[in-house]
Amino acid sequence: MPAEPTPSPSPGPLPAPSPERPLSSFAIDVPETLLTRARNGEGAAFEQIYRWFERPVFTLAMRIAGDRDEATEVLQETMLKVLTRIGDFRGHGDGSGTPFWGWLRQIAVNEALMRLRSQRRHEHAAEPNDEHLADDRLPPPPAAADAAALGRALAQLPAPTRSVLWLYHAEGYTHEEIATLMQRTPSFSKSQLARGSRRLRLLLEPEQAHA
Amino acid sequence: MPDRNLPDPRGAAPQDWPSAFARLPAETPPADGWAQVAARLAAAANATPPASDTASPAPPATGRTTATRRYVPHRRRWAMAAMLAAALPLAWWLSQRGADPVTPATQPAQVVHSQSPAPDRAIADPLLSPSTQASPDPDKLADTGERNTDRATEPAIATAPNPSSDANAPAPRTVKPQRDPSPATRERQAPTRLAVNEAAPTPQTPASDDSDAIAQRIGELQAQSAQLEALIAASRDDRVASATAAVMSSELDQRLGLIDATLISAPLPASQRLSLWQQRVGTLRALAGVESTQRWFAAQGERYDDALVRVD
Repeated sequence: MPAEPTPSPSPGPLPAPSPERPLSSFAIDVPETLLTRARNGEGAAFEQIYRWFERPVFTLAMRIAGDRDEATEVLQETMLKVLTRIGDFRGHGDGSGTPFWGWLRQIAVNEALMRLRSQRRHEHAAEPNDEHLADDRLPPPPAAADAAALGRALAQLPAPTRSVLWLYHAEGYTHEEIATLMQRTPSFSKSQLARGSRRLRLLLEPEQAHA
Repeated sequence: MPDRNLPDPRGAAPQDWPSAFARLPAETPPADGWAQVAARLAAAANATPPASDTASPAPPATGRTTATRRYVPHRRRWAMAAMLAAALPLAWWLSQRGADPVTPATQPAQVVHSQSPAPDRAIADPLLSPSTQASPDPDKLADTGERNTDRATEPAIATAPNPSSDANAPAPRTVKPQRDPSPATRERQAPTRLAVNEAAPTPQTPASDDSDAIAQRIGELQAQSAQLEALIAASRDDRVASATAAVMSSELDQRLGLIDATLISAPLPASQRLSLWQQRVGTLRALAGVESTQRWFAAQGERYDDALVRVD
């Protein structure tokens, strides 16, 4: 089997993030030839797609679920859906449709959030929605440069709050899109974003936050 | 803190949360994730009704696990346990098979299947009937060799008398000639076919069972293929692979890829698909042997390369 070229970051992400935002880790351009082979049911093409996207999917699932077992199941279910429904994907290469990675990411996000909903973790997030005007524009504290500390702080957040933070900041979704994905309102997304930012700041630099 | 005003050893502070999140390292997924997905894809394909089997053959898995550490979600452990339980008798049978000089007399009939033309119509319908799957006729006959184009009047081809054991244990010896579809190979198979006829002089049934037998046989081969893939996934470990063994595995993987490419290239006649699935099972069996032998030598503290050249 001829080796496919190394995946490259896509110039056309979906949804389009603002220029100052980093590209999603999903933003990998998949060659049309590879997609064609996968649509024809070629096992090697399936594996190639899996290898390219397993890490972004697993990372997203870990951020949303916060649990390795759960994230593993999200990864498997996502990939099974993608590979068995790849014939349904028609948006690639026509210049206007969703890129393949956006389609795959949507499946991954839906799968992870569906599991989150099924576990009724959202009940813990039924809090007032009036916080979003407080501090969601403030920059992160310097301690956020420590990736390990930031990862530990993220892990301590409630799953819905962490999900909103990740979808908004790392994947570039808007509040409206997050509200649709989570079957909540945009206000919920904004409040969770504000709440999460404040808690992250508190966890990263407790002395500063209390000052 | 006294060092609060010192430069941050972690680097420049991120300007915003997206930048901070972008610095987080990606999580590492389980090493055997692809093997599990591939096994589930194969299982799903095997469970698919034959109509789709004709249109799109089962997506084969050629994945390699990159580590032996098996990370299994608690909800999947039962499935993995069932898969391994199904694979263990196969591994035992393979080990016994190497020492058994006698090939089951029913296996050569598969070669005859692979060489005999069959109409496309004979592919799907038999598998739709649960009765043919549930109660295969053990009295289906040995192939008499030559066939007419009129399938309604010709005798049924031979099938294994015991489908359950056949599903787990096709003879490697019968698979090898199928990789070579040359006329010389077919000629070499002719005496075997005669031996089959002598070994199973049972009465003949109408030719309508021919398509049943082929479809049933393909289903059995697909089940074997899934079992072997699971076995390979469980036994593969790149950390113990030597260069020689890696080349052997790679060649077998490449052969699998060629078979899969042929299977998916276009809807094929039933006989050709049967032949390809037999070749696939044979190649997978060889691959399972290579992988398990590597693991065995690694467990014994030996190298596969040494075993290849040792003559004692």
